Amino acid sequence: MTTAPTLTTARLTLRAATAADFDAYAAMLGDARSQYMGGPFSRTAAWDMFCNTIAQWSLSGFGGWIIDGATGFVGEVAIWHPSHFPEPELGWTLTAQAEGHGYAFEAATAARAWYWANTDAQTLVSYIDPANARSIALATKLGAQPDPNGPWATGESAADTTVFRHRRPV
Amino acid sequence: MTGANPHNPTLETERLLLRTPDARDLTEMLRFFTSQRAQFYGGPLSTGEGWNRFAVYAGQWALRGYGFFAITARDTGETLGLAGPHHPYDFDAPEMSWLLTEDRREGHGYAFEACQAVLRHLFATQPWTSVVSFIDPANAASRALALKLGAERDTGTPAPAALPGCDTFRHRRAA
Repeated sequence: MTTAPTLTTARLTLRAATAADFDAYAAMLGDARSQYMGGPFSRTAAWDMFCNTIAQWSLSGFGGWIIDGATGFVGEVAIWHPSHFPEPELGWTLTAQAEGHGYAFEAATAARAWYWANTDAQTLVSYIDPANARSIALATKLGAQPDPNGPWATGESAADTTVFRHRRPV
Repeated sequence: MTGANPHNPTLETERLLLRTPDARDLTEMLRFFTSQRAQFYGGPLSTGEGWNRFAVYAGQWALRGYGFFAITARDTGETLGLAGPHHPYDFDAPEMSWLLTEDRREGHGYAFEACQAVLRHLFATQPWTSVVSFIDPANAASRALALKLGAERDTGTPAPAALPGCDTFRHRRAA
């Protein structure tokens, strides 16, 4: 099976998920803060999502990374392209304690740089709930811009998703 | 018979190559999940749901160390189905499961040949003395296959809440 390559940044390590991460991952998705991902999720649902994030690598050649800070698990960043998405999406989620330190920016920057370096893709999207101000601020800080013509995933509309587009640096 | 890498095993039978599932199986698996054949797998599902379900199956390997094998034809490489121990979070124990993706794959003994190889592999590599299969009373083909594989009805072990109405069959390690 293809697995996530390890990436290091100034303060973080992005690495493949292992079974030992599941408790921290399930706690993160069981928190009310996962509302914009459709949560909070039960441990049973989180297990399926955890399996899914690992499998992206063998199905798409890219996928999810666990983000480790100095004291361990701080969240997940992923680039994924399930069949019902028109194009690959860059997404992120952090634990409540890890917010406010710029970790999501640092991790998303590294994941995106890996993607530009390892694929021929010219763009990536982030699908963000219009009410998710924190993620919109982060997408903007990452240089992504709203794409009013960006196609939505099957079943989505402008009411629940804004398409932010990241472009490969020239 | 077993590939060297314990996290990426391959099993060979007379006609089949069994390997961990990957992108090569996606088209056939989406065909399965979006068809009426998925009725005993909670389907038919949408394409997105089917993709997610297949990804869950593929990702289980890294967490459990076992999972579904893709059943492929040795001669053509075509994906014929899946067979292996499925073990979601809310199951007390893994469930030996199988499926063939299309009607035209049935009636050739592929599922029997695959399941027999997988069960032998599991009892040779896992500390299990038995493994269950949960089968819908309406799924005559799977019930017949379970019995042909040597499994017996286990009326003392109820199926998980996620599989209401299913009967439990138990495969036992050969003495």
